[in-house]
Amino acid sequence: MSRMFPNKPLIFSNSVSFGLFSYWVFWLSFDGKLVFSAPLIIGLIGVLISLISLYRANRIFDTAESLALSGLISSGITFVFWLVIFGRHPYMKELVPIILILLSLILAFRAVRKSENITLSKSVILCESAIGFTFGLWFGREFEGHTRILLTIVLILAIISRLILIWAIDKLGPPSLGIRRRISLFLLSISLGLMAFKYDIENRPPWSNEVVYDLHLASRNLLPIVLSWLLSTSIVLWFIPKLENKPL
Amino acid sequence: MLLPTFTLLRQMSYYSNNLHPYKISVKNLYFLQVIARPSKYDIQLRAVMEGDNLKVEKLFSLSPLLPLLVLTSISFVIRLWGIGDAPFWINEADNSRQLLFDTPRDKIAWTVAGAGLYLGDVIIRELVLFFIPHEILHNGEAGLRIPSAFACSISIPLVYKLASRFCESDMSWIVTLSWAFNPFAIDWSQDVSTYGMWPIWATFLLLATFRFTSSIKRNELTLLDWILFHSAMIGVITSNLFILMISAALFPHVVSTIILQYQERKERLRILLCAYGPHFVPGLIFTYTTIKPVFDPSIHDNSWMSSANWNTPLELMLILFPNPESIGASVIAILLIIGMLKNLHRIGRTSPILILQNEYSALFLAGTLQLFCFLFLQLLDSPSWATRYMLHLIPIWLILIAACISPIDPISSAEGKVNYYSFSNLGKAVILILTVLTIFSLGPATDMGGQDTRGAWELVSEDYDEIEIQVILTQPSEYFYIFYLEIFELEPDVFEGSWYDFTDDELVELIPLETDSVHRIRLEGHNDINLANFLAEDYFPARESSSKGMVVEHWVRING
Repeated sequence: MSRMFPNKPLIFSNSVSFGLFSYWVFWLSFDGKLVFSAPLIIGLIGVLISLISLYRANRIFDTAESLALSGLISSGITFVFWLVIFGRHPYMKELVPIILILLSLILAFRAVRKSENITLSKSVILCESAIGFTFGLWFGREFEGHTRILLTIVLILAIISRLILIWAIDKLGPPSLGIRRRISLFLLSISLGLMAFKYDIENRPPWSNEVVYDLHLASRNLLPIVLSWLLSTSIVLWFIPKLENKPL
Repeated sequence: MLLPTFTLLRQMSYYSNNLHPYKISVKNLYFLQVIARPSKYDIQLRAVMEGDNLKVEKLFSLSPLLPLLVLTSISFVIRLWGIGDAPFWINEADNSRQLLFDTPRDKIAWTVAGAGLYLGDVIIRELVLFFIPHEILHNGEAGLRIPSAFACSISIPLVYKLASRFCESDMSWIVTLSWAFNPFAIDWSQDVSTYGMWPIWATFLLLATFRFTSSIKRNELTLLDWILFHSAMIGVITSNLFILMISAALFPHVVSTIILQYQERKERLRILLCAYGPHFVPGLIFTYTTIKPVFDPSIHDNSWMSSANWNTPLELMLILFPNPESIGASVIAILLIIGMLKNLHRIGRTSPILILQNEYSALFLAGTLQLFCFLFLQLLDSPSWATRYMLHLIPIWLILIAACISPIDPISSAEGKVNYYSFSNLGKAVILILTVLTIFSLGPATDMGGQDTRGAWELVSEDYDEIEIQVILTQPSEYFYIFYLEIFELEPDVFEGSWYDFTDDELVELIPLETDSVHRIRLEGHNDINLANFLAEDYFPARESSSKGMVVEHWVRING
């Protein structure tokens, strides 16, 4: 808890400043123009306030985790806002998994520090979702012949993060969410990644019918079946534990 | 029943010190069989209760692996016999386009045709083609035909495995032998097509499903059962509609087994959902996407096909036992009728759910559903039949016939009665004789197709002059003939094709003013009035010649 600010206003201020700062970063990474605009200045001031508060905080780790989580979530929301307003972003393929990986690592840190299995569960789910989504997107692009090194690096980072979580699992025991439901969520995230790949290659948002580039015929033939397989299996695995009296 | 089991296990140690029993089957109260696998042998021990005493007989039998390997190899070698002699007929010429594509992705995309995705077939073909040297692949027809021949050969062990579920051991071998040397299967597995690969998917599906339901009946479902069942279902959905029909035919068997085995509704739902839940929607999507073009006349012109008729089951019998002509099939038909009459008592007053649960009924449904579907299409007056679509049904029908004549009968085996003149032994002898007669009738690969596309190119090459400006127009599309264009090393100035007669605009674009001669390759019976009229102004027909099913016209410039 901060001495300088009460917790909630600090988190709000931190969220707004991270949102503004990431908005500026998104533009910078979009057009490469280094513009000293209001979002940058306000964002930096807010981040500075957060850092000072952190320095003066009693429970430094608690505050740092809360600030990091709120900052990341705020950046994620700003990214969605950016996409809706301005369309495609050159790094949109990597940003979603990176945010998920970072959230997962922060939660894992908190889980280990507080010995909370529930938090560890959330962390593992986020990390596995990041792997699934990135894998779906990466595999689709590779199949289509659009290799992207940056995406491959993000996929490797996601896998490394999951390996790091093994250490946390060793300490706290297996996540409370059953393996079947975790596989279900993993398959769901792969299918989301494959859908993202489709709209990415077709260069259009899901709600638009204007296809700029066509998928390869093989992708067009196989994608509906593969997607339906992943989603059906995901649904079955999610509901099976409810019907289960004993393990299969 | 435990006492004899323990006694038997104790006695087993007498035969071998390192004997590890892996399967104990209790057929009935008087008969108990233990099969143990020490190393490379299967040892069967049969225990029969004689009054209060347990009599143990030791039956040694060789592992089937080696004989199956030999049989598969011989069958493959026979399929290779003269495999490159016959020219491509038009469908093979169409399928030879696979050489045009560089990436597996392109091959996956363009192999998708009416009625299926053929993903597994593409994978098998690519794997086999990988080992075939470039020279063989690009210098004759053999290279492209080998994958299908290989795939059909490796279905032989699967057929044995399936047959041994339904028939006595020696009958299983006769069925396998009959399948390995079936002339129809050999002929169609020497074709550049996927037909030779269908038996793999069909038998694998049947084996995986029967293993799955057997485990349900024993209440011993293992992870391997699930993996095999789901792998088979994935194979089905990425294969074609004909294999999907077998899966549909097996569905009632699986459902009835689940209903009979599990008492609680929740438990039944769980197993059913685990088995078919992941495949239901993909199956529907697959069916819709594959049926749609098949029934769209603008995409697939099926008018050349004849309709299925009520003689179709007889056709299948003739395909199964072709030698001696008609007599073989007739003899088997008589044996089949007697066998069915002998086994009628087994059905008796059984309830429908028990009939569906029976593996024999499931196999019968799997082997006949396709025929029923096509006969139904015939009622709708839809032309749809070609016997090569039945290739994967041949092993199923062979097993059905064998099971009808010589089914596994635990009671008579347990009683230990050996009747050399039994109906079962007579049936085995007849099928074996017919199979041996068939084997002796085998020869090198025959020319089955209706068109000699290579012959057409030989005719073109006779008149081809590389100094002149040459145009080659084909019917159908030019990619049908790329293979022979490379083989004959022709480099025409224009090489184009069309399924239909060319329009005037197309011809103006395709035939430059300075063209010296035009070669036209077309299927026999195709009408080319527009092209003939267009060329008649400046060219004269120097030669019209034909190879089997193909016509080659050579037009030369007037005063050229």
